[in-house]
Amino acid sequence: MSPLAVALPAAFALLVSAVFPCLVTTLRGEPVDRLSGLILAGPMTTLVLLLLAAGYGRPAYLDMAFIVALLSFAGSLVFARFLGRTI
Amino acid sequence: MSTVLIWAGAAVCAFAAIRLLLTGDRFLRLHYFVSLGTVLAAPLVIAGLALASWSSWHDVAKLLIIGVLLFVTGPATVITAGRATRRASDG
Amino acid sequence: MKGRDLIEAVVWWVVLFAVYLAIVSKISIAELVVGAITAAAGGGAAVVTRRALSAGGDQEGYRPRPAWLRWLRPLPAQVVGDSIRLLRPYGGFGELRLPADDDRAAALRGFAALAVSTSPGTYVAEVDLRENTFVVHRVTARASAVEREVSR
Repeated sequence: MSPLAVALPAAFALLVSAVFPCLVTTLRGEPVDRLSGLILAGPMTTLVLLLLAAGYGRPAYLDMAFIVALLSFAGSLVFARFLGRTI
Repeated sequence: MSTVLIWAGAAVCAFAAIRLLLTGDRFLRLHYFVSLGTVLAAPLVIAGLALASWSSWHDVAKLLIIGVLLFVTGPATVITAGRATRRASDG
Repeated sequence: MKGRDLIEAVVWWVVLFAVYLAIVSKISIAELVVGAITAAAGGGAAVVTRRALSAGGDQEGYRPRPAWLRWLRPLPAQVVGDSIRLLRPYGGFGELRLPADDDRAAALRGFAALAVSTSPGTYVAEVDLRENTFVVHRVTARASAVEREVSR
């Protein structure tokens, strides 16, 4: 497939402006404050992977995005339950 | 058209993540900006990508399934995290 | 297995098999066989899981009513409006009283919580079982359109 020209700049923009603030959020505050950064980082990473798949023209990378979407959802639930019970 | 959608989605993602970082109120940010990211930004980007040219319809189907997955798991994650935050705040 | 469970398992099988075939990049005999077998396993697991989760209580209580789809009607406009309101958020808790529905009370709470939380403006923070209310967190001071639909 032909690579999409807009996808790579958009992926870079997303990485810098969306994934990086999420990661910084996981560095500050109480544990429960950091949970929100973790939760948002999942879909943001999925979108970055999708854009990279379109930008390099390799549909095989879409499978990685699929797995990341599923696992980030499960991981967010696990952390939310954990933080809700023991603190 | 796909370019416009992708950049619009990326802009909403950037807005959500930066407001997430800058807001101090735990309940406000934990979920408004998380919910905004999954409900608005992700479908925009995925709609934009779906309109691009892929080599086979299986790729577009995979893309749409990922979009539906992100959209559907958003509210459930927000509710669970909301309960956790409330329990953790009350002590 | 009762007949209803069998129908549910077949529906799951069809859905899972269709999703599998849509995702896989090239359909061949091996893919068809693997997809059919794993879809059957997934459908069986889904039915068994549902029965295990609702065991002890009544299974009817978890089935949604079709009339509840009207909750989703204000949703698209709500999503756009809330995104604009997020530019200047207010952020406070409120209560949402649910209509009493003794048959499907559990399903009402579950689906109502999901419908209310879908829009970025509100989400359900706590469920009060005794008084049948939600504690919601809102961006605006008043209840949103989806909330008004749910509590009618």
